[in-house]
Amino acid sequence: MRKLALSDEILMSVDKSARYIGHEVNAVWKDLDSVDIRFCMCFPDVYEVGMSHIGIQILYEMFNRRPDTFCERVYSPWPDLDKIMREKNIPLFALESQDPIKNFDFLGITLQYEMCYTNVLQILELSQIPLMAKDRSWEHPIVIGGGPCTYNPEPLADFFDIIYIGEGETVYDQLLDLYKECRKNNDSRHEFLVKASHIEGLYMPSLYEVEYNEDGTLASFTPVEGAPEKVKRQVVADMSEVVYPDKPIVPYIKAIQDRVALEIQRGCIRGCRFCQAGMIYRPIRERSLEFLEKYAIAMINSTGYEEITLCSLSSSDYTKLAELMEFLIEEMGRRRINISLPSLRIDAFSVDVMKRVQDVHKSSVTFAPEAGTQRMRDIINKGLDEETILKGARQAYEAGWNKVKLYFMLGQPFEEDSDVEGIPHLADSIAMEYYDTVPKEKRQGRCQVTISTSYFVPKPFTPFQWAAQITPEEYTRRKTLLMDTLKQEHNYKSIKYNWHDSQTSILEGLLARGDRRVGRVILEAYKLGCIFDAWTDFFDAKKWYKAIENAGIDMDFYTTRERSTDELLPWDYIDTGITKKFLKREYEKASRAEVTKNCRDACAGCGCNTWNTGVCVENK
Amino acid sequence: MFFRIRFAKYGVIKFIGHLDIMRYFQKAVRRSGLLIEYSQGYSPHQLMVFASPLGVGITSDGEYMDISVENDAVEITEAVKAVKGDYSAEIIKSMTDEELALAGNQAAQAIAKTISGSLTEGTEIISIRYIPWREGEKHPENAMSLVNGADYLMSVKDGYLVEGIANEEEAAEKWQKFISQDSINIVKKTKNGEKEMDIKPYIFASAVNDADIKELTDEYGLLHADSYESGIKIFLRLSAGSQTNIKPEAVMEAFCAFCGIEFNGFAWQIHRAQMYSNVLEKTPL
Repeated sequence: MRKLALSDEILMSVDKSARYIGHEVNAVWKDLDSVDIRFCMCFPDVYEVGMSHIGIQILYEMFNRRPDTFCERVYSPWPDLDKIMREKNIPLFALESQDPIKNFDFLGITLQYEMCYTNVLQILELSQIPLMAKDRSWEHPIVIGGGPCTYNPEPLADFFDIIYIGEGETVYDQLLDLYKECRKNNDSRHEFLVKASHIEGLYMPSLYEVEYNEDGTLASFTPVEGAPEKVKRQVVADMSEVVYPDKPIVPYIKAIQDRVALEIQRGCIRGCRFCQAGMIYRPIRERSLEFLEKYAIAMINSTGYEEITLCSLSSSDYTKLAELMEFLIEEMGRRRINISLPSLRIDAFSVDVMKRVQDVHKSSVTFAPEAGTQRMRDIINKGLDEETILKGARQAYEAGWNKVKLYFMLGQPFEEDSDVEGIPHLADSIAMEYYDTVPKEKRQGRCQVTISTSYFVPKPFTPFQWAAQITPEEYTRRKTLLMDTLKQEHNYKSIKYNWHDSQTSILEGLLARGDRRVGRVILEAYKLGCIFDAWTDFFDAKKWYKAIENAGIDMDFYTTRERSTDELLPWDYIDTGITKKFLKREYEKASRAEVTKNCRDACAGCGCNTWNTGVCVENK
Repeated sequence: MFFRIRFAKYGVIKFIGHLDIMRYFQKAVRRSGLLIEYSQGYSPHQLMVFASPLGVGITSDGEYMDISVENDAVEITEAVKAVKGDYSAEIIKSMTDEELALAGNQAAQAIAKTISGSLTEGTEIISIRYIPWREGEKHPENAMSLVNGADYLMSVKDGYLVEGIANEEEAAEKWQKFISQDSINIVKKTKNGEKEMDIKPYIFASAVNDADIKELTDEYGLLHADSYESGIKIFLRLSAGSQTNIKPEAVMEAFCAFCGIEFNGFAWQIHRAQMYSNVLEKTPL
């Protein structure tokens, strides 16, 4: 029997001890004497969240295919165990070997959302690794970050040795090979980092010097010791010739994503101006039907899951969706496997498909108009008109659904009160459509339309990266306006309104567009006891404001200030392939409520065609 | 066809709770490709019934689950062919009870092999048997409704000193006194508050030394029971199931109280060794 890092008594004292024992179906085990590199992959949130992330499963598979490397996993210990580990001075351990992470060669941390930043510090501290990169030696692992938040890693710059910019499937082999060579040559840790800075896509925060103007804006951002001026985003050229896990790990306890996840494509053609994912994963690249069919069957057979879900930013844009669905309905039906289909645009085809794979009485239909008026939807380039939404709703009602969910954002640039009022108006029209479509005798009570609003956070590498975030007070005012308008709608009894907490979003805004100085806020917040900030139960806004005060940071400078398009931005050294010219052009078009066509209809000239792949070379 | 599987749960898997163990077996069966039967209705589930939940932290060599396998499963068709030379739905119907039992027992071994291939370390099939049933008849009673008794081994774990019963001799002596009482009253928490109850009649057997314990268990019962330095063990045969379910912890609490000490759940490793459909007759499930 394998050893456990925690005693029975500790495991019996904490909630869900299965989070900490590893040993899951398809977890990899290697003979420790046969490997040169110990890599620990971390998702800095609780196990059930982290285990639901396919990115880690992809990299786990990729690393473990190397005979010289053993990749293991770690997730944030829940506060109950966190407390015990601190009291008893137990070092954080990897799930597979249960060995302390401080003895590993690498600790890779995926950064999926800003509100996990204090958990990064928790991971480092519990691992007994110095929080500050400058305090580390060869005694400690190389701490490397990746994931969508690395498109502005500056607030975390002091805590990481390396930041990997872009898709993980490309240059890790080079990094690990270089590491082995440097260790063999007895290079210093610093020498290794300098050498690694020449691998495309790797950013070493310690090799860049930052100067600020008197007004607080960036004056210069200068590489030292020969580090490159620009760090180029890594992009997988062929999504059908790249590693994917055919045997994903199956947790014993129910993860958030308790099903097989099949990533059908990466990127999005839509170009919504608020959406960071729609920009930083460009160009859209589809996986071949053959690839997806093979992996769907392999993953179902190797995991025993009873459900498969298709992952992508917009499933409807997958060109062979009809063929794929035919295949899945046939093959999964035979195996009694359910199919879930998120991110669908609601049209006749998707209503038909959904009807075949879902129970209309239990499930709901989701639309993400993101804005209530046509003017506003044009500003954000949503590419969706009211007629299409109403038609989609009608088709869904005719097919038997009576629950509709609607997602909106408040506080996007150029939003006026009439746009806010447009949200309940639209919801009312959607509800009205139900009573017009479904005859009285066939109705099962009222229809249920649910409006959710989130508080818009401008993100780097989007056309709105320069825009001001609205203040929490303004968000509350618009929320109240929405609510008051809703009460006057004809069908208000059929409409429910949920809103997102404003305190989290404004802090997310600070972390998303912060510079290196914002790192102090994260450190202060952590020292004040903040962890699991993405969890409502643990999030403590007061502590964060105290941390901002302690760090001497002007919150408004980062959140509610509109930047000039000439300003040097903290993330400008990253070359995502998307030109600043394109982003500026899109911002200007937004101000005129002018739409830009999607990538398939016409190239918008974003600059990503230099990758020569995906939609940029389709039909050529 | 119906089958009853006896399985072990040990090692790190002892930390997996009952609901998760059920989900684990459902997935294992799907991975194995075994054609298990599904319930009717909009969201069909596998026909799989577990005898009795096992608490987190407890190891076992006496877990049971019933499964219902489609006649079309290769494990069954091959067994039927071996008995009758051929397989069809009609042939199965025409088989005598003896022939069905012969084929069923053969299929059982093949099914155990199929499922075992999908299990990870910490779960293990100990045995499997065919449950006689003919199409058209009422379904056989399942393991959950049959269970009426269970064996447990309580061992003091390494690193714990239980005062008052610091060694095997002391434990044996105190246990003898405790179990010789005319009644053993405990306070049982129920939905309607607390209730005093004499559990003596529900303790069917007990033992404190290896020879006596061996006498009370079959060859598999303690296969995966961890052993500890102190050697202090208490074996209990208790009433279990829907009628009167006595938890071994409740007995230990009473014993510790009798010894004048407080029961420390962390100090004792509980191992379930067996479950019975007729505990007085010692008939295992």
